[in-house]
Amino acid sequence: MKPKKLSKQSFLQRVLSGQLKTDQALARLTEQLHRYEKQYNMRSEVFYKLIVGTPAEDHPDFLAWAICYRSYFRVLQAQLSAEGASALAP
Amino acid sequence: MPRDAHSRRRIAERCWQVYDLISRHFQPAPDFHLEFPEAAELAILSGALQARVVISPQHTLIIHEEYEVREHELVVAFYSYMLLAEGDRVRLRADPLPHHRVDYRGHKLAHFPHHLHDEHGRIQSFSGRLEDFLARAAALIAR
Repeated sequence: MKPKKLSKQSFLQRVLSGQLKTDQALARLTEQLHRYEKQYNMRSEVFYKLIVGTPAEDHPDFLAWAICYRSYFRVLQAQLSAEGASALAP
Repeated sequence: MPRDAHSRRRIAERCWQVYDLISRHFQPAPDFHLEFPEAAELAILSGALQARVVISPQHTLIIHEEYEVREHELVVAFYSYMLLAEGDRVRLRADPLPHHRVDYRGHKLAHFPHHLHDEHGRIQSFSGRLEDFLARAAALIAR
């Protein structure tokens, strides 16, 4: 049976259920970053420093790469904060 | 990173809006209804939606949105919308990078920094709203 459009309630229940863990999210984002790095033969940190904020950024792949790079660090930061909080827990 | 329940809920609701808008404007492949919620789950953790949606045998939509919660309201802080044809050829794309101030006729952009690159690569004014981009993409495909 073909999947059908989800109702708003089903959609929200599904996406808010918390099935995706931060390490899985990091793995997905890392894979995407590696794909860009291989394609452009440039490490993400170098790309971000050299390209982002300049007119050269106005390229479809570069826009996506920059968003992916920032996303990776947001998830990483959250994971580190959670680990730090749990380490401090009594 | 949207860690509190309020932020997660706001991002989930925005992802629903995007899902609903795409479903209303196009008839995406059935996998869309399985894959888009996965993209939304990642958006809740990462604060950014990244979705690639096949809307016809010849066309694909790429939707990237980066979110911030300001004073309890969700804001699309950055975006990149694209309509691709076969071979990943760009037919239409929009973003808010501040590198263009005028359209291809030399008129000031109506909603700077929002702008659109049309199928000829020309700069045009754009509202910054996803619904406007999707309407324009649908019209272009129907031509």
